[in-house]
Amino acid sequence: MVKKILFPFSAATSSYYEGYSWASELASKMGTELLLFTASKSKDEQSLQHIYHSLLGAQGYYLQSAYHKNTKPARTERWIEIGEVKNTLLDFLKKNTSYITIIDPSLPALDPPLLSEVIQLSGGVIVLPSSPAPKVENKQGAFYEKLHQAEVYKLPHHFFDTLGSDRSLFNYLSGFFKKKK
Amino acid sequence: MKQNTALADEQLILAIRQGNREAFGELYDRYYKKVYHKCLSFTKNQEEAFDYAQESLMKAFDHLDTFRGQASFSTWLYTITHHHCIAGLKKNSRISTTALSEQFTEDETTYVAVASEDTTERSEQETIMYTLINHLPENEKTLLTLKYEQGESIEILQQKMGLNASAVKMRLKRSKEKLNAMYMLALTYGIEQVLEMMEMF
Repeated sequence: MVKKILFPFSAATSSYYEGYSWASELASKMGTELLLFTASKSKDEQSLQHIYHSLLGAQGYYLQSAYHKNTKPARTERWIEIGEVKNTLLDFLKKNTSYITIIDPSLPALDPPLLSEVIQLSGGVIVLPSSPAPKVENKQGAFYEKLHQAEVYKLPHHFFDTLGSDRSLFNYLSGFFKKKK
Repeated sequence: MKQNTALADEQLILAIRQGNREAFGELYDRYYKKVYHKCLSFTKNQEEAFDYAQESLMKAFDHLDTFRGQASFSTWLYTITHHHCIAGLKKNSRISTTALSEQFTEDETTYVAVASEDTTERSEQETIMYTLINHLPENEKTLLTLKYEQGESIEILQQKMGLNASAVKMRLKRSKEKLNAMYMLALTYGIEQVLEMMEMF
């Protein structure tokens, strides 16, 4: 069974756009839903508007740097809590354990003890690298290079089975092998 | 990216067609908030407005190659957004068929105005619409003019056209649908091409 992807983010800056793009692409490849999780001091009109503007900006970044030409995005849901991202995220994961959580390096104050707790509560965790996007000409290559650089925890077998059926991965790998000859 | 900020929308579209991804980002950034607020004016709900905005932007940017530049890019984009919101709300039964019909039938220029708040664009849209009306077959043009320009009642139209009420309503409905379709085509492919098509049929 394919698990859903959870992407916690803070809309305070646009530094999560790269991670958002990668998580979107992953959800699209796995044919699963992407839950965009964030928290805000309040849910007044202005705060919500700021979050939705930010997400549309992130979507634009994804389309601009799309890993493939077919820009059919993954289905997304938004989950907005009141408070701080890190505390509300743990509360959420305590009630919802079946998500593969993507941790973006821009997520504030995700220190090791907190990360351990996220790993313990999630159905799988991918911690994206804080280094800039890999300089790979092939966009599919960039996607898999990033996965290669990420730290992964508790990922279920079907995660790799699902990604293994991604035709673009095969094309990327075959291209890579051709270069090695 | 800085180079792109000085470019007009149409120049950015040319650059995008040549594979310039930064131009894509610049054009997207110019409009995504406006598209969101347009959707919000329909939905009155931020969550739903976000979905509609995202889908409208995707639809427009995925079909940039069909943009012919007859209308401005913003006009084209807002028209797509407008139609996407209407279709979505109708699907979710938030707008009844009657209400939708009224929105388009009270005055066709209302439809045009809703698609853009900018006076220049409105004028451009109106020019397209009036050009299309002028190229309709004479009986359809007369019917629409009498009803929407001169505000004649169905009864008066019955007398003038020698038809019963349901026939008048049906002809009005068909003429409006045809005009709407032609308008969308004109925005996408250019008015000249649509006028050529109209002459062929």
